[in-house]
Amino acid sequence: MNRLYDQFRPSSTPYIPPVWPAGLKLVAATVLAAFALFSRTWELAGLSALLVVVFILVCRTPLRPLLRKIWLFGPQFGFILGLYILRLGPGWSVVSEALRVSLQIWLAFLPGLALYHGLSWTQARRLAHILLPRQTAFVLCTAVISVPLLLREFQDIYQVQLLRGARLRPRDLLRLAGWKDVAYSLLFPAVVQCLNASAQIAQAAELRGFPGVRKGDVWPYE
Amino acid sequence: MNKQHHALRNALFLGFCAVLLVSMKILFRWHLHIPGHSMLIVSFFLILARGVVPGKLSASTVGLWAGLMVVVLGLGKGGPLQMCKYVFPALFVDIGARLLPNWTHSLWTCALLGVGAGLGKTGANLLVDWAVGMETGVLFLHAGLKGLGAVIFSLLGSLLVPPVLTRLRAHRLL
Repeated sequence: MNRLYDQFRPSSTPYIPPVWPAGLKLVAATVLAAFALFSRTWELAGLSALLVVVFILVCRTPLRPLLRKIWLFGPQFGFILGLYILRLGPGWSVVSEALRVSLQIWLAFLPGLALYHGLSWTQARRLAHILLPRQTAFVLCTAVISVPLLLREFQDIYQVQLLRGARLRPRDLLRLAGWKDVAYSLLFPAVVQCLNASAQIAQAAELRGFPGVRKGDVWPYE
Repeated sequence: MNKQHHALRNALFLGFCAVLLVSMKILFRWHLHIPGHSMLIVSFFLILARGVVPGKLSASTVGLWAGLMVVVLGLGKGGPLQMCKYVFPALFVDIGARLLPNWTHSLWTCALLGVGAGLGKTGANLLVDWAVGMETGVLFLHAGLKGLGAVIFSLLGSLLVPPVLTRLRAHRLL
């Protein structure tokens, strides 16, 4: 009997990964992105590209989501190159300048993406509780958790209002009446849902002794 | 107790605004190829937050939180400077709301706040382009073109706020 109980007993101390590597990654990503933005020569841009690649390898980010974002580089390069040629006339130096500028903007974007795919929710939440004031951390974490639920409720509101005959389909947005219906029959109930949810969560948290005792505690306690 | 309860409730509403702003921006990534179309969502949530939560800096709070989240989640191009793209419009909204008393009652003042938010976004674009070292003429052309789109869309977004606020007031929810 005891062995059976032991088998299904929830482990008393769940494994919590240490938080300092996550903090280090956050700092590194911020520094790398800032460095990429301010590296204004080709040598510095190359160095920053190298550092970003090292960062991605060290974080062991899955490569597929990163590869999916490569296409962002193309249209932006085209747009900036067009502007440069419009202003300075065609020439190899102009192309190289435009290429460097769009590479910089793109490189500044990569470390954050790598961080996002390399950070677990538990780590992010503990990091938020260490870095931010207690109420801010609680509010942001709660909002992140409950927004998917809210979005599902918005979807329900949308479907119900469509059945009631509100003009909410994408092609209705070409006329003024569609926008009126968006404001009155979709946005208004959605905002009321948000107000309602925030009042309920605030009351529930306070009844459970919200602000807690020590700073750095993750509330509700892990 | 009551005061703290209200503070927590308002903070939660601002948090919802910030997270919804970011998630809506991801969900409705229309491939319109018009620069600045995301300002529709940004200016709507910023002005809504300022209208619903009484406080001198409520829009800035939403902007700051959304910017923090965008920097940590690695959305959008611009690294840490991405934060300015949310904080500048929010500051413009807050300052505008201070300068225009009773702005919630009129469509025109709301539209003015929307234009202010668009201008704030343009300022942030200028800053990012300057940081990467773009040539001055190209910089103004690039930021100006994007800024025009931002102003138009944020004007549209701000026009959605007054009907919602009117209804909320009619139901005594403000």
